[in-house]
Amino acid sequence: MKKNKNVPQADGTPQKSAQPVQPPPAPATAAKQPAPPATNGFKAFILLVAAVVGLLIFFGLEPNKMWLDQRIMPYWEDYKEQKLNLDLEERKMARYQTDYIFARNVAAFFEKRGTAGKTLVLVPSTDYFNAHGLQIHVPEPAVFYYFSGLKTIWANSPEASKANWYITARDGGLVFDSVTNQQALQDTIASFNKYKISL
Amino acid sequence: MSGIVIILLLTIIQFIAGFGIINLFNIQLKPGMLISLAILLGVAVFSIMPFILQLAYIPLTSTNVFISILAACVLLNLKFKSGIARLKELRANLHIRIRLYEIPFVIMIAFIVFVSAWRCFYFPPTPRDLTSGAEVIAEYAIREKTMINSVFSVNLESTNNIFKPPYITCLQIIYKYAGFEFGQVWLSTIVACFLIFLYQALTLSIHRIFAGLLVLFFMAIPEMFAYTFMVLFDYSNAVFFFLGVWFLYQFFQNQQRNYLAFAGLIMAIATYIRSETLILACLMVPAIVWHHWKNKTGIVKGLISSAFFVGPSLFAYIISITIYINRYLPAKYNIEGLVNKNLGDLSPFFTRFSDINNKLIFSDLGVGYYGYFIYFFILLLLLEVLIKRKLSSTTRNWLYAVLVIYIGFPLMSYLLPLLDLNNSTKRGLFKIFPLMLLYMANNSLLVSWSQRITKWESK
Repeated sequence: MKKNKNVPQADGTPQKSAQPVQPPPAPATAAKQPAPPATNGFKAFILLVAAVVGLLIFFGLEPNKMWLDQRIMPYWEDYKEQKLNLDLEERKMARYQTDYIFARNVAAFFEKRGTAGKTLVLVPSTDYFNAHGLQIHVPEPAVFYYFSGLKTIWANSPEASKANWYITARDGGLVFDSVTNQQALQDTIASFNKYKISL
Repeated sequence: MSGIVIILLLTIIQFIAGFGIINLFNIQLKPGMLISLAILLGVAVFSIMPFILQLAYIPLTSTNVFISILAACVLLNLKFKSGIARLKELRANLHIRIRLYEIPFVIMIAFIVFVSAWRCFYFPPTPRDLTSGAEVIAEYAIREKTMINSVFSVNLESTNNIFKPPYITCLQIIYKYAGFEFGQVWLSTIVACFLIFLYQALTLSIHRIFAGLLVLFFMAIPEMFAYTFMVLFDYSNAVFFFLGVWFLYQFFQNQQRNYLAFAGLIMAIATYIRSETLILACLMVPAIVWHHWKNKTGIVKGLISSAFFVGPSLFAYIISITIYINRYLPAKYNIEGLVNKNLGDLSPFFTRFSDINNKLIFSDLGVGYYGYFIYFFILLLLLEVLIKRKLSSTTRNWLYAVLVIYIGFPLMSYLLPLLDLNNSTKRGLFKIFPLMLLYMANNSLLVSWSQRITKWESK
């Protein structure tokens, strides 16, 4: 038979502790717990100093200091500027950067023609563009659709031949071609497939 | 300004819904814990209502969504009289009194939460897991009034994120309807309420100075902090998993079955958020059976209690995965294909276990991800073992929960090879930190130092 013992809690209330099951502090009755003892002013001040010292030690530790200096404080500086600029499009561009701009620009081409809703665009991979001197990161079709409402497809998809437009790189720019010739599309798919697709 | 008013209004509705659940289960808590828990539960209720509408093929118009939320509030508060009585009791017991020495921590934590909340509000959803999954579905659900929308007609071969449970999608739909273009701010509600709950839970056993320092320590886990403003499933999952375990341990203490059922409900919410939580819930079963065996109430009762705890999670899994993903979504997702076919080969378990330790925890990269939190936990554990030479059953319970995550992730990676190290496991480990925190709060050294400070303070 193991002994029972009563260990007072941090706030001064006794905590029943019976083996084999030792109950933790009891929130079931916590609503009726007495208030913690009052602290006199001097002791509260001593504890305040201890708290401040604790904070200084905490943020003196290298990872915490780095976190504060490289994350929290720059975020605070960001806030001071961001609160003056609440434009939604700018916030999107700030976060998604070239992915978003690329998707929006491609979609704008089809929106001008009034065909954005009916178009499926075969897009090459990021590696393809990089190999052709264009620093464009191509979002995957689901993200492309989120950014722009335009449906795209990658060359490695079995459905790629359903595309009715495709984009290629030529002379440092983008070329949009509608599919008028299935053989040309198949050739384009084959050339796109030479490049690795990355997310 | 109107955004703040809308957040306040939504928070009040969340409190009403969550308070109704707490009242239905007759859960007794300190006011600070009760209020924060009620709001957290309210967020969970919000996350379920559009899903229920979708299951019934009711269009997800703003009117339907908000009426369903209000209807849930009414239904959850059917015990109206006792609810009113409890609210009066809550009001009588509610004394917000910040001690002088709490102020530095309160200011620091509030500042960090503010910075996080602002970023959460300001930037659009960022993680690719979201923009190729829950967020794009939510965006088109607003336009097409259904979660089964044109996103599923897009080339989806590069993503499986559309097959995640609809927890985030539902919350994004509600908050977008409420006027937040990027949704997301519900995450800040979860973060703030969880920190309040944690702080209050810590002060049950340790001095407020230690509680403040530990909450700050928890908040400053770099990788976890990043996900207080970048919406994904893992932070919410960690919150509800922790709460499920916390109320399970309350049941261990008070033997009241309503606490066990409540723990089961909360674990079901965690499973709804991330379906593989079901495995972790099952790993808690030995603790439940052991508890009954030690109390001489019988293993059969232990198994019944386990069913109370795991059953709701199983139900959540069946609804959100088996039924919704398999029967409702137009795209096929072969879940069986994700399970390891070669279960006789245990090497993936040991490889992942080794990788977690060598790459994610005990490495420079690990310090970058999680700071010194895990090291501090180990230090306190070693000190307790060396100085006190024994562990109380409360600390053993929390250590068991820590072990469930520590062993559970290699196990899950062995069962589901798709769970990678640098994303799924790295974020999945978030669940271990609140559990470690509660171990720290029950560490006998910290408890005894707390008692000495309290004694000196009250002399």
